[in-house]
This record gives sequence, structure tokens and C-alpha cells, in this order.
Amino acid sequence: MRTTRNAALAVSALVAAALVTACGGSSPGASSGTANSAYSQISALPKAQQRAKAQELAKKEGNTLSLYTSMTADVATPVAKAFEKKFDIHVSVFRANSETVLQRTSQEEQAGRPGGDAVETDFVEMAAMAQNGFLADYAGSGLDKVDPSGRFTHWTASRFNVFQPAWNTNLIKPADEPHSWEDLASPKYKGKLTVEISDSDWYENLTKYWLDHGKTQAQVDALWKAIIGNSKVSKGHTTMMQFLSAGQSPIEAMNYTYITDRAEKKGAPVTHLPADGVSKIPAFARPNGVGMIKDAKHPAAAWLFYDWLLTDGQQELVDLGLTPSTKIPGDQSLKGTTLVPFDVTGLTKEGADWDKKYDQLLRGASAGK
Amino acid sequence: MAIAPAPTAPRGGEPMPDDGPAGDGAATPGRAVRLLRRLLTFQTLLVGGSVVVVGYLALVPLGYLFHDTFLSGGGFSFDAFSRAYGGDSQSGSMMLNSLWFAFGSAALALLLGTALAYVQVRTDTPFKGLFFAASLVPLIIPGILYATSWIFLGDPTIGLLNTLVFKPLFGASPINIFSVWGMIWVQGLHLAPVAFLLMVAAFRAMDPSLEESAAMSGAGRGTILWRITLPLVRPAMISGALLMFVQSLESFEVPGLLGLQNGTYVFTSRIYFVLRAYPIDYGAAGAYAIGLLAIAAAGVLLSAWLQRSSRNFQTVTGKAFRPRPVELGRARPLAGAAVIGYFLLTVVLPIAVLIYASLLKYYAVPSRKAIKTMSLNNYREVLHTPLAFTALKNSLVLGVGAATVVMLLTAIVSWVVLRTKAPGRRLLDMLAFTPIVIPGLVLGLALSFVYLRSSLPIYGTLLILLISYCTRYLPYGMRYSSAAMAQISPELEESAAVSGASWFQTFRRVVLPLMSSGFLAGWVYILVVSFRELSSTILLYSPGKEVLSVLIWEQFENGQFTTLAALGVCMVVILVLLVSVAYRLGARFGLQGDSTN
Amino acid sequence: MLTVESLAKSYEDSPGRRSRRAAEGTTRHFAVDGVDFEVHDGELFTLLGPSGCGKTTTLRSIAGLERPTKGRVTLGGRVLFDAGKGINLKANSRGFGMVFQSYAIWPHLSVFKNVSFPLEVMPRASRPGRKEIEERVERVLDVIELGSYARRPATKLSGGQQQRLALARALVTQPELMLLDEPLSNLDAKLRETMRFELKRLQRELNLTAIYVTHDQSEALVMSNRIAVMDKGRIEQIGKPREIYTRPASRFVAEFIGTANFIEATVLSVTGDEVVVDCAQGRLVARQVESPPAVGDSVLVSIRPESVDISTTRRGDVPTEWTGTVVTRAFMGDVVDHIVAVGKQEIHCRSNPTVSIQPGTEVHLSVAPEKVTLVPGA
Repeated sequence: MRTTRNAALAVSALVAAALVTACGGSSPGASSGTANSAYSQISALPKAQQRAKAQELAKKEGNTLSLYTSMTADVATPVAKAFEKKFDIHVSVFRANSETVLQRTSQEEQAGRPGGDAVETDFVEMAAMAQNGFLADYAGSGLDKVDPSGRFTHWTASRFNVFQPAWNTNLIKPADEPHSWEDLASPKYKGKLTVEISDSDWYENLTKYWLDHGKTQAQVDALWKAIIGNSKVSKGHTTMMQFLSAGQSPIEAMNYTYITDRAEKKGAPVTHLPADGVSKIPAFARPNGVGMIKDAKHPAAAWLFYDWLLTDGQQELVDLGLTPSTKIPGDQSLKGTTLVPFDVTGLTKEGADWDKKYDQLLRGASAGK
Repeated sequence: MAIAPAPTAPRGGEPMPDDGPAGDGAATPGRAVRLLRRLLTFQTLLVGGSVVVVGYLALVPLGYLFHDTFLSGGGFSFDAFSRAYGGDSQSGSMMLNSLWFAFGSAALALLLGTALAYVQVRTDTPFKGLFFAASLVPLIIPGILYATSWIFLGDPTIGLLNTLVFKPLFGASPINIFSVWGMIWVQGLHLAPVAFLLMVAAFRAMDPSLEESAAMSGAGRGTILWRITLPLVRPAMISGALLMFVQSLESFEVPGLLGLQNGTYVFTSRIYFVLRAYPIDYGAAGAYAIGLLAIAAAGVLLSAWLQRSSRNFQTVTGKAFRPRPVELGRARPLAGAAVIGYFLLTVVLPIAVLIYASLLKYYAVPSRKAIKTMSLNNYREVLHTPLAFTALKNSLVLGVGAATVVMLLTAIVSWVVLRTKAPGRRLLDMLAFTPIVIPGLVLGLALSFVYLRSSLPIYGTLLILLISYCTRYLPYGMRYSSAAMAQISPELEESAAVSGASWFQTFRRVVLPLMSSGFLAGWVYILVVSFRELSSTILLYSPGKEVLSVLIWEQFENGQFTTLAALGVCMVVILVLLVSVAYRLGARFGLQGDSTN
Repeated sequence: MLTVESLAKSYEDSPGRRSRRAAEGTTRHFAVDGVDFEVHDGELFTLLGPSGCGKTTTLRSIAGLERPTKGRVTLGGRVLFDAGKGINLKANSRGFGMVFQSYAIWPHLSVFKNVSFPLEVMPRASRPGRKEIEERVERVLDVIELGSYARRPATKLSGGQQQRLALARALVTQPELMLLDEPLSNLDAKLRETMRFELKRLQRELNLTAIYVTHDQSEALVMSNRIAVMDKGRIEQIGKPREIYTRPASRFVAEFIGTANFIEATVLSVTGDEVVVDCAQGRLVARQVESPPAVGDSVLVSIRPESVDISTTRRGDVPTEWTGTVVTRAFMGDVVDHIVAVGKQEIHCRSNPTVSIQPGTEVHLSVAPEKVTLVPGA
């Protein structure tokens, strides 16, 4: 009987313990002051001297950098290596999908214990971090080559993911290739399309594009209804590419061109370009961006990474087959595509609404509300 | 014990409004001292400590979940529920889909697992060696890979079963993996090892004379099975069914890969939707999790109700017995064929697809062209993956650590639940079950929330992953332990106590050895599944502290299914080796235990 | 009624490693090594022996729970098992009742259901109706005095009650043969004694034929019509309890059944049924009825303690009389034991409690010739 009582007491005690740990004193970040001073020390100098100063400060920080990124490992590893080689700064990389990068950064920021110095991820998450005030401003010479449309408050586009349909060349003969987004609604693709479950940014951009180019809301809704009517739903762009390569599905309504290119390079029978090599399908290029954490432990290294990724690092991205945010000679990634502007503001403001609408569209629940 | 309870020194935090039992803060000082003295025996420290740790592990994410769900809007409200279930969410039909899918998978897994366990433990079936692999391999292969293998096997157009078997032989492609039945099939096969491990332990621990006496009463084999054997292992079956049911409800790998293509949306696709949107509606996510929690709690109550009469089902009595296998006689070749068939389906086919894929540059239906491109490059790539060895080492440390800690904790806690009349023991049982419904990401958020604010060096180390794994697998450990404990007759403990053994001696030398087959089964299960845990790991791991599941995820994100397949094959090999060593060691302990009888 | 012929059962030392073992040519271990006996109608036949002697394996082979390696088991004209012909009737079609050492009461069923089970699973043709099942179960529960417990969960019964329940379950189908595997060994001493007589009474009243396995010699002596004493997989002796006790066929039997004084001796002369042997203590006259030994044979003399007459005075009218000194004395209630040193050997004497002699006293021991057993081949 004695155990019984004690067990009960112990339960009560643990609740108290949990509460204490959960709500106990949170110490605000102590490093924000030093980080700020490093950032301002660098930006106070003329642009030409900033990098040297940053390198000097980075040495004092111990020549290390913590990077949070959603770049895939096959990109992140060579990028980190190239940066390490250039500056002799050790990079430790936290890789996760973009949502997780945001989650982790938010958790750490809210607790005042930042773990990352620089972040590189999708624009939605970059915008969210910027909005929440997690990021410090960069004003170095790296910005010069970036198109103004790629410069955002507190962060800058470092590369683009380009939206295009992709198809299996064994299953779709040149005569059956889609030549416009509207083609995807054609009855000949009935049961042949695959759409991704979370591509609401594509849905938003294409809807706005159509509306801006003379279609009525009703026409747009009808197109979407037909496209989804032709489609199966799948999850994950890389998984979809795997199935596309294997011939499990003939066409993907939208995949990122770099994923398609990479599979094609391996020999898979897939492409996003028609037989004549030029796609007239409007290509939306979604920016991925880089930012520096406001209260970073290694602010100078973060600054260096930001600076480097927009300059020397761009070549590295091109070598990896990605689409850089600046003009780099030898960049073939946009060859044959017709770029159109990507609607950043709409998605930043109404992203959640479009998520819901897209979800409802896929599930067939009161489409296009 | 590797995990110390959380620091108890108050640091001026305000108590949060909480759902748990009220703290006993009002104890007077005199009473407290007396209590303290009483508490300071080894038994109470150990038992109390375990209860505290288990309660703590379960309450942290639960508290976080409840807080977000009911209080995220500033005050207490049910808004999150209307956001989650109202409007166009179609949550009703998704719930029904989920229940049907979970029920079907659990039923299939229970049927397969129990049948195999019976054949393995109680008959002289041939090919017993295959069971070992059949019980492990589906557990080891990450869900994503297992489901993908089945897509390549059962797709209506490119599935190998259709193109290589059915089309040439029957001129039709009858198999369509993208159906509810396909989902149940894949999930059921993937879960069957859970039932198998639980049931093997249960059958092992059962006194065979209970069956023999039925045979002597004139009952045939079928009657014995139906009227004696199965009712006797019912507690373990109910445990297993509950576990697998809730796990299927909560999983999204199979519904995500197979269900979406077919338009079968399940409940977890809601959670997935909510968790990947920005800003995350934590309230809605929590409301979904609480919905699952309600179902799981109903399941726990139902299973307690179903087991109400089995309080006295202890089949492990003090009498020594040598389990004698049932001679199958003429049915032996049939059983052998069934074993081989099962082995083919669950192990050979998916592994063959993985091996085949691992030799290719990209997955393609077998053809002369595809075969020409075969090489070992993917294996080379796996070996050269930076961090591969760090990740393996970390995964091993975490797997072994989590398995050991969870099984020891749950052994003690299931003792408290089943053997004492402690008030709140039911609650404790249910509490230990709750982590199963908490989405991995929410668990990760809860843990990072707590440990980012703790001065202990836990965040950013392997320890936080250990805590996360211990929390996630607590429900499994609890089911394995309590199924084993329920079978042990309390007289055995009483007799040890009467012979002068202290509680600890009794526990260590009588209870633990008697529940050893259940203990080992749970241990193996946790070890293996912790190798694939990703959803909380991905948020909590730190650079340099990578684990294998993170590497797998990376390969998956890279789109390197073929490399991933190679990694999967390596994992299967490593874990099969590891577990066979564990069984060897276990068998050695088991043998010692037997000889002292 | 039941005939067992050259029954044998061997085990591989470690099952599952057959091939390697066979390759190494390891000897097989025989749990039962050529056992023959016959059980007559209406008798309680006991297999008696120490643990590991093969008695339980023999019983389980008869039951059909174990598949023997060799031999033949027939019941009446029916062949149950024949290794040569490959016949092995399943346990559930042999129609025996069996009581297990652990009782094997089904914990998920009530007392009533435990007993009704064998009736409910009978082949459809011979299965009694619901009403009859009820009556028969109640009748058998009444016989073993558990009638008022019918609706209780079986696990709520005490040890003795569970034992009787197991018996009821075995009896309810009125089997031709009952197999009892150490049914009393889990009971406390007092209960065991009561149950012995209870069982014997039931067996006699219901005219049951039963094979009873036990390691308890007094249980065997009290209950059995005939006993087979087993050792190392073989039967040492089969006989009525009195024969086994008074005329053990081997040293093992003599030692296993009760206590005995053993003296090594050589045969001096054989006259009719009177055998004179010579041993360290002097001459000894025995009356050996069966198979008298030859002169010069070395034999083992076995004398039960209660056969030794102890007296402070010399009797003189008996063929054998030894003189010795009392070493210790033990009062045991119904009897008193004296240990007497005769020369180098200590002789154990058991007598009526009225006899009580101080240690150190010189005493005279005598044994009636018909109480002396000569065990051949000492």
C-alpha cells in the first residue's frame, strides 16, 4: 500500500517539475548586442572594405558559421565546402525542409538562444522570418548584381526554382506535349496528370497570371476544375520525379525545372522542354533567399556567407545546375524557358488563404470559393 | 538510469494552468518531512522516479499541445476545433476513411502477426529461421521506402507483379496498389511485425499444458486454438490491436503515397496540411491531435474493458514447463508453404525491388537497357556520404539507449499499473499512451520549447533526441511491458517476497526474467523503429549530431531513390546483424534463466 | 486393456542443430528406453520413479502428447501408436481423461465451463444435448463436491479445489482410461493425504482404469493396484505394492521404496527355500521363495527397519541374532527408531513406541527369515 501513495505523490511532483522547466526563467539572448555591433561595424565601412573587415571579425569569432538551410544535401555540401575553402571558416549545416528551418529558427529566437548565423531557404519562410524581425540587414556590394525584384526587406534572393510542367518522353510523344498551362486542362490528359499536394504558390501565380491576361474568374475556375479533373494527387516533388522517371505517371502539371534537369542528366526519360527546345509556357521563378540572423553568435561569418552567396557563390550554384539570382555567364538553367514575374507580394499577404483554396480544390470541396 | 527527471528547483516560473492532476503543494512541513523519510527507500525512489520520468515525458508534449489548442487565442476557447473540423474541412469523411484504413490495417496485421507467431512458437513448422527476417525487415525499411517498393510492385501500369506475373500469365493487371485495399495491405504488412513480436512473447510465456489438457479433453486443433489459445492470449492481442490501430490512424506515409493518388484523404492529411502551411495553425493541429487522442483514449478504455475479465489470465505460473511444439503432421508442408509465401511477400519482394533499384541510376522497369546500366555506384555513394559513420554511431547510441531506457521504465511503470492499487494508475497508463497521437513535429516543438528555456545542456545535444525517442516510443514499451506483466502470476512475486527477497531483488531476479521475452521484443522494436524516426528528429538534431534517418531524408529530398534504396539495403543488413546479436545475448540470458528453474 | 510394448523415446540433445550433431555422431539421449507393461481393467497402475526417470514421458506418450521413437501402444484391440506401421492416433481422438500436474485449469472459463468443455467438443454424432451436458457436469461436480462453485471463475478456487476441478474435467466424459500426472504434488501435505484416499475411493467406486504417475513412494503404495518402478527410462520392477515393498527386485527398487538396511553377503547354503548367507555381522537366514541363488553367489541383503526386532535380552529361539550397541534413538510419534551399531555397520530398527532404549545400551537384534530379502547381483 505504501507504494501506491507514493506513486500518487510522485505524479503530483512531476507535474510541478514539468511546469517549472517549461515556464522557468527564459534568459534573453546575450549575444544580440555583439551581433549588432559586428553588423554595424561592417556596414559603417565603405563597400570595398567591408569584406576585409568581416573576415577580420570572423577570425575573432573563431572562424565558424552555422548555416540553416533547405538546400538539399547534394547542393548544401558543395556550397559549404566552397565557402570553407574560400574563407577558411568552418561551416556546420542544419538541413531540413523550409518549414522546419522556419520552425527551428522561430523556436530559438523566441527563447533567445539563436543557433543559426545565416539562413538560406524558400521565400515564404524568408519573408516570415523577415516579418518577425529575426533578420539583420545586409547592404554590401553583393546586392549590386541582383535584380531589384530579387531584393527584399531584410533578405535577398540567392536562386530561383522555376515552375514548369514535366513529362516522360517515352509516354508523351512530341505531338502530345503541352504547349501552355491551359493545355493541361485538355481532355487528352485525362488521368495522365499528377499535381503536388502543396503547390498552392503555383496555383496562386497561375490564377493571377490568367486573370491578368484577360481571363474571367469563371474561365479560370473552369480551367482549374478541368486540370484537377485530369489529375492524381501526389506528395513531394522529388518523389513525383521518381515516379515520372519510372513511367508511373506520364505528366506532372508542375515540377521545378532543376529537379527535372537533374533526372534528365542521369538518363531518365523526362524533360520540361518540348522537342524543339523552346517552351512557351510562362515560367514562374520562385526566389529562394539568404539572410543573416539578427542576434547571431557569428555575425561576421554570416555576413561573409551572405556576401559570398550573392557573388562568388553564384557560380557555385550554376555549377550545380541551379538558377542563380544574378546573371552568370554559362548559366544554362533558363535555356528555352519563358520567364514571367513571380507574385511575391500576393503570396506573402494571402499565402494561407491560397493554401486553403488549393487544398479545397484538390479535395473537390466547394472549388474556387 | 540515463535520464534524470527534470530539475525540480523552482526558478520563479509561474505555474501554468494545467490539465494534469493538481500538485500536492499544500503539504504541511511536518508531513513533508515524514513523507520524505518514507520516500527515501530504494524501492520508492526507483518506482517513484520511474513514474515521475514517464509522467514527465508524456506531460511535456501533452501540456504544450493543450496549451496551443485551448489557449493560443489569448484566453480559453474552442476556436481551434471549429477551425480544424468546421467549414470545408471534410473532416467527417476523412475520419471515416482513417478509421476504416486503420481498422483494416490493424486487423490484417493482427491476423498475420498472430498466425505467424503461433506457427513459430507452437508448431514444428519448417523454415523457422525465416521468421526472424520476416519479423524484422518490414520494421527496418523506412515507411517511405516500403511504400515506394510496393508502388513499384503493385502499380496498375508499371507494377512488377502486374507486368511480370499477371500480365504474361493471365493477360490482366488485377493489382492496384492505389486503392484502400492496397493501403491496408501495405500498412498491414508493415505493421505485422509489431503484432508478431508481441504475440511471440505471449505464446512463449503460455503454459502449454493448458492446450494439452484441451487436446486430452478431445478437442481438435482448431477448437483448441479458437476456444483456449486465443482467449488466453487475448490481453496481448488487444494491446497489439490498439497499438497498431492508433499508429495507423496517426501515420501518413502510406496514405500520403498511396491514398492521395486515389483520392483517399485521411485524417492525417489534415494534420499534414495544417503543419506545412505558414503560419502554422498550432491550435488546429492540436485540435486534430486531440481528436486522435480522444479516439486513442477510447481505445485504451475499450481495451481495459475487454480485459476486465482477464485480470486472472496469468498464464505464466510457477510450474516449470518445456514448451512442446504442436506436430503439424500432414499440414506441415502447407505451413511451410505459407511461411515461405509470407516471407516472399514481406521480405523478398520489397527487398528485391530495393536491391534492383539500388543498382540503377534511376528507377526504371526492368529491361535490357536498364540492366545494362546497373552498377554499385549507389553503394559507393552511400559509403562516401559525409557523416555516414557519425550518423550510424549516433543512431546506434540513440536506438540502444532509447530501447533500454523505455523498456526499463515501462517495466517498472507497468508493474505499478498492474500490481498496485495506486490511485491514478489508470491515468498513468493512459498518460503513457498519449505520445502515440502527438505528431512528431509537435513533439519536436514542445521539446525545443522546454529545453531552449532550460539551463541544462540538453538542447543541441544527442540527449534531446534521446528524450524525444523515449517519449515517442513510451506507448510501445508500455504495451509490450504490460502485456508481458499481465501474464505473470503475482504469486511468483509474492513467493519471492516471502522468501525474504527485497522488492528490488524480486523485481530484478523474478519479474524481469519472467517478462524477458516481452522485454526483449519491445527492446528490439524500439531499437529498430528509432532508426527511422524523422518527424521530431529533423527539428531537433544539430549539425554534427546527424542520425541515419536524417541522411535517409536527405537522399529522399535529393530525389535519389536509387541511392536511398542502397542506404535502405545497408540499414537492413546492419540492423539484422545487430538484432541477431541481441537475440543471441538474450538467448544466453534466457538459457541461464531456464537452468535455474 | 492397455498394452505398452517396447516403448522408447529419444531426444536430440539440442533440437534445431540436428545436422551438426548428427555429423558429430553424438549419442542420443533416451528418456524412455524400451518399456513394456499392461494395464488391466479397473486397476490403478502407477509409474513410480525419481524425476527424470521417464515416467512422465511414458504417460505423455500413451496420451498422445508425445510421439515415441519406437514401440506400440494398444488399447483393447485398438492400435493407438505403432512406430513400425507409422500409426499415431492424435491425443484428442484417444478418448482418455488426463489430470496435469499444474492442473491446467483454463483461467478464462468458469468452473462449469471448464468441466463442460470436453463434452462440448465431442464429435457431433456423439455429443450430448445442452440439457444432458448440464446434467452430467452437475453430476460430476457433485461427486467431487464442487457443485456450489459451478458459476465461479475457475481461478477463484483454492489449490485443492482446482485439483478436484481438473479431476472432474477428466472424468466428465467417462473415459476408458484416466491418466494422472503427479496430480497431488502441488498440494500441501495434509491435503495430499486426504486427496489420496479421495482419489482411491473415486477410482474404486467409478471402477476407473487409471495410470498414475508419481515420485512419491508412499502415495504409490497406498493407491496403486500395481506399481511399475522406473529408473533411467527403464522399468525396474512391476508388481503389487506389497511385493514391491517386501521383495524389491533390485537395489534401486529397495532403496527407492521406503528405507532399508543393506548388507553385502555371500550365499553359504541353500536348503529348499532356506538360504543361509554370510556377512560381516555373522550368519543370516533368509527364506527366499522365488529364484533361490546358488551357493557362492554374492547377494545384497535388504532388511526393512520395521522387520528388525530389537531387545535388551537375548531371545535365543531365532535363527539369526546379532549383538550391537544403540547409537541414537529418535521418537517419531507413531514409531520409534533406533540406530544400532553392529560391528562396523549401523542397522536401522523401527519399532512400536513403547520400546525405548538408552543409547549406549547393548541390544540384541533379530530378523525373521521371511522378512529378509536377497537382492541378486550385489
